[in-house]
Amino acid sequence: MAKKTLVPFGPQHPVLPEPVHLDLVLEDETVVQAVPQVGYVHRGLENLVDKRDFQQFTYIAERICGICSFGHSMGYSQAVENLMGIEVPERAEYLRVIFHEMSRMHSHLLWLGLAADAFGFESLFMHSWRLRERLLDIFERTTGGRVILNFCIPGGVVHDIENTELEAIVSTLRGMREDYDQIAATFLDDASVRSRLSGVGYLSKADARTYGCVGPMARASGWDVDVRNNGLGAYSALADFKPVTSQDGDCYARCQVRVEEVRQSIDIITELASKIPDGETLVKIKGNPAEGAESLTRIEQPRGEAIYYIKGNGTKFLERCRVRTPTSTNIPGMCATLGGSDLADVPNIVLTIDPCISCSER
Amino acid sequence: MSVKDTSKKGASYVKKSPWIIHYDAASCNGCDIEVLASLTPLYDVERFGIINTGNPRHADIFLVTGSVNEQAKPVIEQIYSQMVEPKVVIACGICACSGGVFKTCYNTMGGIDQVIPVDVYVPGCAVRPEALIDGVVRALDILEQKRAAMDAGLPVPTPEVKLGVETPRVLHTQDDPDESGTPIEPAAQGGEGAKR
Amino acid sequence: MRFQDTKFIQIDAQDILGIATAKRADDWRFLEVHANRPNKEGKVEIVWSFFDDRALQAVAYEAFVDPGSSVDSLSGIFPCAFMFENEMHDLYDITVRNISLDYHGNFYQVTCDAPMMDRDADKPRRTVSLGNGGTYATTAPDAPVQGEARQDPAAPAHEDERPDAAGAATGE
Repeated sequence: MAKKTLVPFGPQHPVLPEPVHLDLVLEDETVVQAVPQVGYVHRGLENLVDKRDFQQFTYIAERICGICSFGHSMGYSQAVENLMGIEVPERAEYLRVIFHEMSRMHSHLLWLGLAADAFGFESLFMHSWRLRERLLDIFERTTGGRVILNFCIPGGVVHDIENTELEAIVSTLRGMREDYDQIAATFLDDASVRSRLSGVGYLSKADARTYGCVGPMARASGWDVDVRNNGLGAYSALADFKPVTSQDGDCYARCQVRVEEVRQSIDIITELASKIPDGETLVKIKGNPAEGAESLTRIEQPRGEAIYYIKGNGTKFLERCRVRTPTSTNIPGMCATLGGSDLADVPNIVLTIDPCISCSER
Repeated sequence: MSVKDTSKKGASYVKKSPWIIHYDAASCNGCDIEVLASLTPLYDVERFGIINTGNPRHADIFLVTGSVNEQAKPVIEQIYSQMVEPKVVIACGICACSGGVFKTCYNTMGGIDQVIPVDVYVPGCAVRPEALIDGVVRALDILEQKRAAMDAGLPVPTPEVKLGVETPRVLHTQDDPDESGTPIEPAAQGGEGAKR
Repeated sequence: MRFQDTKFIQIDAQDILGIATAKRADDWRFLEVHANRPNKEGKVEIVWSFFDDRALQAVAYEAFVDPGSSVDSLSGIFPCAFMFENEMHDLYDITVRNISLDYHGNFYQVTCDAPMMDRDADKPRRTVSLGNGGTYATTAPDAPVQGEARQDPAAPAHEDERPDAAGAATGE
């Protein structure tokens, strides 16, 4: 009869950039059950709706997470606009999507570096982050910040980005593509990476639907859930958008999906930059949210679908702002995939989920 | 870099290649990715011989980000107590310095210096890698001073832990109170004292 | 579609298990469950939301319950619900029956029980005990926290809406 032992994983671990704790119940070297313990990053910022009015709260929303920062500001702004029935100018919608896709690229490149580092591929980590610096240079040149951009606010975007600058962005991304293809090939075609990731952490499509997984984790299992496919905002202007999916459902498939999404983002940005209309970029918001008004909006963050629920109470302070991030929904699925895996595979599985704990705990 | 060499006994073993341990204490991650970005080729703290380690007992510099929450507090205290003297704590980002935008949240303590003594404060939201490197270079100086004090048998200078606003206390973290170096001032109010 | 239309439907809290079972049978997706702070009547509002991928329609069911009351867990039907239900229990003191993985109040280690139930903007800091036996308490309960100016909810948020703004609002 195999003896059961309890091994704690985290919160401080070389492979994890963020603190999450897993209690792994092991029989010999096989994980039987994984119990997550979150709460290391819970700041309670949803209570700040009392102290910051609905326009100031954008800056709190941006700081829910530094990696998905632009996505949160965009999601929150869309939620406020939905609540108050504000129509944002088209140019602002295009700019938001362009920056959101760049944010997705920077997040996936960051993840690629961390995944490579966990494998011992330290120089690939350096190359991937060196490539990411070019994106951060674009952010800094256009908005002034590398990580927290302060660019998207309810009503539109803070200032216009000229078409010449957009052309420069597109040519930078085109220049990045060759380097990126090399880095991605080095990671995915490597024999040891393939052998360590293939067949590991399998999640079937049915299980992905049962556990409600979203984002690349679900798309790697063959389920094409993607908010960008719903034709919202400037995504409706794309000629042809298909979510990147894979049928394999293992860790390797999740890596492949994320790697391909970076290329897809470059294509999206190139297409939208050529189609962007001229016009205003910001409408001024008058008045406060109505009492009892509620809105629930969704966007596609790099890690999956994020939901923003906002309720007004007639004053300039919101009654409630609730953010449900993709990692909260993916963690139960992750614990299910950990069941039956080896202890040595646990860091790999956790990394391929791409957890963003500070998002999920707010 | 021009730093004063305060070593009297020859080349410093500490300043040559200090190792870092990094922990995210309820941070939004912005500062954490900038800490990791400092290791990458563009900013490159590795030219100072700095390596990011996961083991507190190997580390000289503790880079902490985030406004501390209740659950992170014991983790930080444990990491700090496991580090071997001389050690330096750098609070990265405005959340670590003073709590940042989350200062008044119900679950934040409002800065690292509420929990462990902080030697260098690096502001920014998110902290820029250049500022971080500047902070690390200053921390190397402080580390050198501590090493010199240890070699000379003098008390190791440790900054105060600023708990609350009205009642600052000194949190002593060395294991054996009899050989403690830093003199402890009993707090003005609340006479339970801070001596371990 | 430019705006995301979500249907908000008022229900009784005991009906949610039946509704969730029907949604699962119809192949809907569970989005999340959360609670809102007590309204003027002192009732806590619980919001469950579901999504239909085919019709691209989100529906949110809302129920008003008394503080401290209990509701059924959806984690038997939608396994990912346990994360949100434990959080709701910790922050809002709503008991959820039969959660598949129940942390019994230890999901988040927070400074006080049900912190989100308190509406006071300037919450008094708690008394914290140091590891060595000492304690301290910070700012007085009704003094504003250092550095925070109290904001007046009735004041307009925008410059040009102040009643004594000269002339009409300038073009934006």
